[in-house]
Amino acid sequence: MKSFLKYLLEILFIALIVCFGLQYFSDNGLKKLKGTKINDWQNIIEGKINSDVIINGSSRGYFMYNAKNIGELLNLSCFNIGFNAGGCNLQQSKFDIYLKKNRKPTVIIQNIDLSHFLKNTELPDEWQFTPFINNEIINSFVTKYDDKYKYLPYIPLLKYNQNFQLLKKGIIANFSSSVTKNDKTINGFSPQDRIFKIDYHNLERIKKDKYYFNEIDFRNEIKEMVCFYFRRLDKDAKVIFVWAPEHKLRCSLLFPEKGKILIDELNRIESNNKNFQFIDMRVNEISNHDEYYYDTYHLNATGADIFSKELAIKIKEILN
Amino acid sequence: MFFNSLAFAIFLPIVFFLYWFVFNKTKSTQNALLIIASYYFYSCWDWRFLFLLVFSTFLDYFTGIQIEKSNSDRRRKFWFWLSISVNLGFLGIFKYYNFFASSFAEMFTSFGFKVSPFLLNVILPVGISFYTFHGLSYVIDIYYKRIKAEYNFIDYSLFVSYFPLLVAGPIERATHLLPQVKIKREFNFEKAKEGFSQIIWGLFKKVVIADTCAIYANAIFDHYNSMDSLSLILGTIYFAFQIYGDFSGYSDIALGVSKLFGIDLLRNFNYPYFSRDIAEFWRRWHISLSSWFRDYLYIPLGGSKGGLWMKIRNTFIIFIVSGFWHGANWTYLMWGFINAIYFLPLLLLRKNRNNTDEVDIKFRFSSLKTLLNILFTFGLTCFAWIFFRAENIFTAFNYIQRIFAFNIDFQNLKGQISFTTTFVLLYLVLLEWNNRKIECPLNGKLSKVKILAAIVLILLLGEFNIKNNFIYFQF
Repeated sequence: MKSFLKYLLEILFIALIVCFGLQYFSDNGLKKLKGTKINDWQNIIEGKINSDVIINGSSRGYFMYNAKNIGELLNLSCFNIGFNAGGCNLQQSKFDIYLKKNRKPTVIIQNIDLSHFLKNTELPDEWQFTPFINNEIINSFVTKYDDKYKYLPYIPLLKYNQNFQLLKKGIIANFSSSVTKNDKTINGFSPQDRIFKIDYHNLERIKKDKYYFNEIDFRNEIKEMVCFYFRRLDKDAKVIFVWAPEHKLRCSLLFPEKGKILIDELNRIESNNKNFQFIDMRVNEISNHDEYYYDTYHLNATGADIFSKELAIKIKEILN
Repeated sequence: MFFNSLAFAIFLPIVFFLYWFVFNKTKSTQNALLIIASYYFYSCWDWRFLFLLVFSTFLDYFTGIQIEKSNSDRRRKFWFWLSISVNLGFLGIFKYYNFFASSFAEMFTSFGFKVSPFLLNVILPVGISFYTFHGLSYVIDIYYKRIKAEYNFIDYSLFVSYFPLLVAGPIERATHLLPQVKIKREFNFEKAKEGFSQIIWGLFKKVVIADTCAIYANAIFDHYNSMDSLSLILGTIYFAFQIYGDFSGYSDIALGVSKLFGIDLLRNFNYPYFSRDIAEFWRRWHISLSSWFRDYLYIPLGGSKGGLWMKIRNTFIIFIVSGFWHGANWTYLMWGFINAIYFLPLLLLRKNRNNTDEVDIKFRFSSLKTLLNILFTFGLTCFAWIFFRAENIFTAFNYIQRIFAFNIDFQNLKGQISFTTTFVLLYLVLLEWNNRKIECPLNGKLSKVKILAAIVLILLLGEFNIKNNFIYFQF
């Protein structure tokens, strides 16, 4: 029996070394790979961002607000913490995680649109958290969405389960720093070098109200969203909500009736609070040009540059 | 409690520890612990099934003794048929009643009579086909005086309900298992080591091979209407590996777990996809069931000793009954029927025992023939698996029809192939081929390296998110 237990321990010991070794090697590579979503998370939890301006939003926030351009034009440091496919609950959680280690921003730019108020029950793009499962802050966040994260830190390699590509990428990243074109991030912003393709499935979802816009209490939700920021920021901090350009096909489906309540409420809050601003750019010259979009929902890199510059000019006026 | 669940990962070490450190004083204490563990294991599915298991155990224990004690032939026959009919009666009620009732109703409806059948609202108790067959073989062996009746109820209960084989086999024989149960087991390092590697290999086959292939096989079978011919062929290959990984994986875990307790179970699989003809395939696939039907059905019916018609009749009976054993569905019957068709020419030409030697391939011309025979046999098996996997007989025929439409769409095919699945299947085939002379490919040379690789692959590629039950639990 002693020999068998020794044999088991030996196998277990070697397996642990090999698995933890592979995991460490991959985690390390992924965290080090500059200009990626994972590296951005690493900088956030290490408190290396500390920007004056923070941009937040869902995929439209993440892919459309060029933080570098905006920052340069405002002459302030700027970082995008947008959450691809993340509803307002995930965006808020990400902002809270940001505040744990970074200093409070003086300006918040929050992307807003009708789908902003949808709440996630599952984590999108879970792979972005893979190297951080053992990090206390990230673990307590992801565990809210899936119980498996409770035990993943203790079983080596299991967090890479079904994601062999990510493990491979992490290991290679120790030797090479190349990042795939559309995965690259600049100050947290992810420019998409893609040409326009109509996303009929998304348009269909709007037509059939699969987003359940009619069930959302926009008035209350937006009030809570604004309060969320003011509760966390310094008194003189500015909170700017921006409705970025919608593609012409979506404009015809979404407006005016569905967005009206939301716009009215944003305008009302703006008139009552000098530190709150609403910039309405949903119907813009960009809206009519397919070449600035990669689908009806998102601007591509060119569109994002044009929009970001226009937005920065408007914000500069507000801040001055 | 599945073998690939966290609950089992906790259950097994606890029972192992108690067995060797607390209850190892006598054979009786060892057996008592294993019975408690087995009943707990079984009750984890549904505690109500326990009544059936206990009743079945009592019945065969009691009738076994009565058969042995009876002086007259009439009394022996009475007890024998009582056991057979009650055992098969339970199986019939739980497994086949609804099938026959609705099939007869459909038949009458097709003749213009409207019949609404009385269907039972019962669920199939897990493993009923397996433990019923345990009991049947025991009673039959006593009746034919091959073994003595077991008078120790604890020992007999363990023979029926031993948890590694309780829900999906292998189907044990009293001649093989009871003698092991009747002596105190001493810890054997080599056996335990083999058991451990067999558990790891079984787990690899289940969570990496079977569950990964299941994703693709399900996608293809569930949408066969929109698939091209090559994708449909690929779907059958995925299913062939899914069912192999699933069932042989389960058997490996069962055998491995049992070895940890010092008990050897019957080998259930012997690399069946390396078979050179269908007869060899059936000597290597689900061996405990094939040999059960051979010994308790085929040989009593006359086997292959009678005339031509008797041979044909017996072959069809054994394969169709074997198909029906798997489930109450026409698809299983058809699967059995097709295998009988495959087997018959070999039997009639007396070639059914041609390939009893070790399969080998070397760089010479005769090896090409062997390789082609293996591929041909695998192709035949895959074809039969279509019926096994299809929802119903019509779906199976439509599926085959679409294969022979020779509609080729490489774009569609590309969507059904993944690097990971190809890699793991190649790994499985190569590892099994190189180690086909031993029971578990992880044993032998470089054992620790192979175990380690399997552990890494399980953690990395194992399918843990989907709730994939072992296919054979439903039988």
